[in-house]
Amino acid sequence: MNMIAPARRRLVLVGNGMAGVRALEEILSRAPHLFAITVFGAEPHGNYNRIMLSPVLAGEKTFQDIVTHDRGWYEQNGIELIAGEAVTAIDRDNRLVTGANGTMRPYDVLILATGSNPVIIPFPGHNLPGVIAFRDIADVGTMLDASRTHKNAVVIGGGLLGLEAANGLARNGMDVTVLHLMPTLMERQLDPVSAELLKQDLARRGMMVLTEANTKAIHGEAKVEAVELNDGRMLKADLVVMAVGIRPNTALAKAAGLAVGRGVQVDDGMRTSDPAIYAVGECVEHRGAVFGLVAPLFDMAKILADRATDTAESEYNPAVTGTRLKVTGIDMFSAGDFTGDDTTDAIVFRDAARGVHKHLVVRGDKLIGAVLYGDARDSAWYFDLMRNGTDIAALRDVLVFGPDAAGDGAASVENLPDTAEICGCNGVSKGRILSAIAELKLTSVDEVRARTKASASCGSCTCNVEKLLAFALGSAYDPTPKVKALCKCTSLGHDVVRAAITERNLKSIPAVMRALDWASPDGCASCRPALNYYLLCAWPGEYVDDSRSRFVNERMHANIQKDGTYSVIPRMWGGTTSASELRAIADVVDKYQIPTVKVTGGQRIDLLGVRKEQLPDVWRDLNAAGMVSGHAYGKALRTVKTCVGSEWCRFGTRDSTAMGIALEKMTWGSWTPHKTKMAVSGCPRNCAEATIKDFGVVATESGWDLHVGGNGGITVRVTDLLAKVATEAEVLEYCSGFMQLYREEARYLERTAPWIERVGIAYVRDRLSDAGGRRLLSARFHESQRHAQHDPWAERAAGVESHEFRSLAVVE
Amino acid sequence: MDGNVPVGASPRPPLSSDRHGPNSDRHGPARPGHLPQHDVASDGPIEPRHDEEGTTWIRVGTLDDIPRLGSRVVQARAEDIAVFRTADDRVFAIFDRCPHKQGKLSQGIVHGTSVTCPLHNWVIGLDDGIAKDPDEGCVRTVPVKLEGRDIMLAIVA
Repeated sequence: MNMIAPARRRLVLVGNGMAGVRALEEILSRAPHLFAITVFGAEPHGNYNRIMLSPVLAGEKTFQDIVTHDRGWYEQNGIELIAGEAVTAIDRDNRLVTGANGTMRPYDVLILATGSNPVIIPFPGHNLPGVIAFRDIADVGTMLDASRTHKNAVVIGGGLLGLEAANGLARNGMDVTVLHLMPTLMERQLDPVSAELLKQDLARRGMMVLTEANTKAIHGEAKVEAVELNDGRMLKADLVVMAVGIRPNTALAKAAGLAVGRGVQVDDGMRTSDPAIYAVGECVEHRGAVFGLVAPLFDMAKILADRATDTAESEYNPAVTGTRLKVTGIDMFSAGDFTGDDTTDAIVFRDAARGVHKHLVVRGDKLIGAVLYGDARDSAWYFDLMRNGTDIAALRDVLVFGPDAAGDGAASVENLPDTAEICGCNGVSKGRILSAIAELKLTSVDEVRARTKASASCGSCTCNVEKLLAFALGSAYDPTPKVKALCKCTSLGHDVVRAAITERNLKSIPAVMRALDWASPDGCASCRPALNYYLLCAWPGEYVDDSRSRFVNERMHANIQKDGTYSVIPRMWGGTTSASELRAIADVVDKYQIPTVKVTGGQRIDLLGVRKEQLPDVWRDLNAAGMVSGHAYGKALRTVKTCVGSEWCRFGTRDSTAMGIALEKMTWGSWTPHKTKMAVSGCPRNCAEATIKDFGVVATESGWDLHVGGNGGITVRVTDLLAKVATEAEVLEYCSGFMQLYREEARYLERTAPWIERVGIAYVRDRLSDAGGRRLLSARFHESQRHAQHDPWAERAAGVESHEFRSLAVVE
Repeated sequence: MDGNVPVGASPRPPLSSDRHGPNSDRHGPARPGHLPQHDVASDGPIEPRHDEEGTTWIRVGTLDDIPRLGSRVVQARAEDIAVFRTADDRVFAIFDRCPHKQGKLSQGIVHGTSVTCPLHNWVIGLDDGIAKDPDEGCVRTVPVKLEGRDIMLAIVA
């Protein structure tokens, strides 16, 4: 018997984008072990949903939200991901690809999914700094940076992408002008009436649109300053986004000698002119057509997978495509031939007050095109009528009012087969959603989204997910988005309770409970600590901390362990200590026979196994050597971890240790919604792991990069960049401002990472980039600290709350 | 055995269903009386007293030794007993040991007539020692009463 497994065929994917990765998924679903797979991606990430860059720009989503395949996915599927290295050459004779850094991989099957490049029109000045495209997450970063420091933006191109860029920039506070060459906006998707409605809606949202605007030149010295039009008008511009279209990226295919027209030419089986090489996605030209929408790309991926795995001899037939779009929250849909000709009839519905316009194009008894503006709820129904060539003669008089009026129950999502795809972005079928609802007992759209990813990307299928929930749960489904109650003692959410505390001047836990009709006389173990924190934060120096509403660790100022003993962690500023401190710790360990001494992840020393009654004495001895509470037990500032920095390290650019000590001296003792950890690294090598901390500082040659919202826990989250600053004073001001914003606005027990995911980094940046607002936040933090920086150990060693540490009685 | 009667050693103290429970008809919930406060150190000598039914009552301290919505521990030879004081000055005693993972209930947050265990948030009824839904388990209660402001803990002789 031959025990040697046959060598797997080698498959290389060039291009780690939506189409290519979808093709891999389709291949894996057909033949999981057929290929040894390598993926080259030019961008240094896993795969993300490029369609969703606009919501990231608009601050509605974070980059994490739009990641569809993280590195874990590649690992789980045994795929080698080479991210950040573009492929530069294909040696077809030897079946070998070479990357920009020299990485080489042989292939048996090669898939090109190189996507498209934005078209940059070579106006004079097009290569000035500040002139960019809107293509990838790096462009989004550039736009967000520009919006923080500059005011005027010009977007060239009034198509979908241009308008999304304009909307995002306007949402970030920039004055935006859109220049569009054609007489109406989005002329490839919208009829003139809808386009005019759109123009008016955009104006109401503060975006100026100039149609028939011919750009002549872009001006500027060191960077872009203005855009000049053919008619002589000059528009001030600190940022120019060119969004005039995309062009298939064919350079690699062309250099390899493949047949290339407008795109990489493929046959109906997605094969290029070299049978070992397939192509998929926006780089493709098929029967003379090129593609820019998701649905056809995903169809191509299926055909490619059938062919590459020899599953079926399927062929790609371009179907009618429809686009459902959202620009600035306005719902739109467009499909088929919506201009019509003298053989067609138009059915038009218009409700100016609601801003709704529906334009259907009918030829004979068939629907052949549709534009829906302002209300695209019925788009799927119209699209099906078009695709299936349904005879609409009987529906004609009510067609424009949608499936409900037409009495077409078959259109409803309930009647779709289980295999029907509900979420196109994430490829989630109706059957999968229904089984998740049943098996995991899901009751809300958010839960379905979390478990299945359905409606987690563009969100346009949310209403269908809701319908499925209603279908599955019947009357048990409550569609009103629930504000999560603070606890079972109240129906009010955290934010409402918090607002009431300040607005209604509530200054004690009983006062809050009385004013807000608490259901239980003294609350529960969930609400009491939350209220205690909210009151402490709202009334610094005035509110008296209620120790009975503290979790045991914060009441005992030590961490309870599973055997009921405690652990004691003295503060070590910035992770530094000294011989005398270490000697004192050693003496304490001997004197109290402390069983375990452990170095923590936060650069502190942990004394484990201290009995409750020993705590005040242990603290007294540590105090005597100058050590205070490390607050390692609290929803509080924990530790500031540092690397050795420029004092000792040959790579260090700045004194990270001193910076860490300064930060810790400023922030120790502060109570926060959840534990708060910091770190300072002296150079971008980042040995202090600052980018998984709540507040991380990384020194650079030019100053300090400030990062926020990192977490190394169950869900690792890398920080978002908050700001780049030059001086130590700015680091401290940003830090204190950030801490106070977190203290005032995050919900109790919400770490900075989920808080930032919830409110968006753009919001946090907004609040802190505004110098006036930042100083106010910082001032409130320092005022609060005036009342918070008392060593709780010293107080207790001196006899405060002694009942906590002594038994009531001993009975023998 | 000398005059000091062990608490929590054999014989076992009665369970909650026992008529000596804190809410039994016999004693009712332990509420403060109107007697003047005794000024006795909390860890002072313990003098057991026997009532007519043979229950031994031990004075373990006064109401003022325990903060409202708080708890103190009575160290018994076998096991610690947690004595709780509610917001309305009722007193309950249960063994200081969560039925789940033996967490020290005396360190939990007290609310109503329940305590939430500090280890994994089980909620235990102070009056019956029973874990609230969805958790299942039971911790032994210890009869307790107030005489004036003195807290008296019962041991069945």
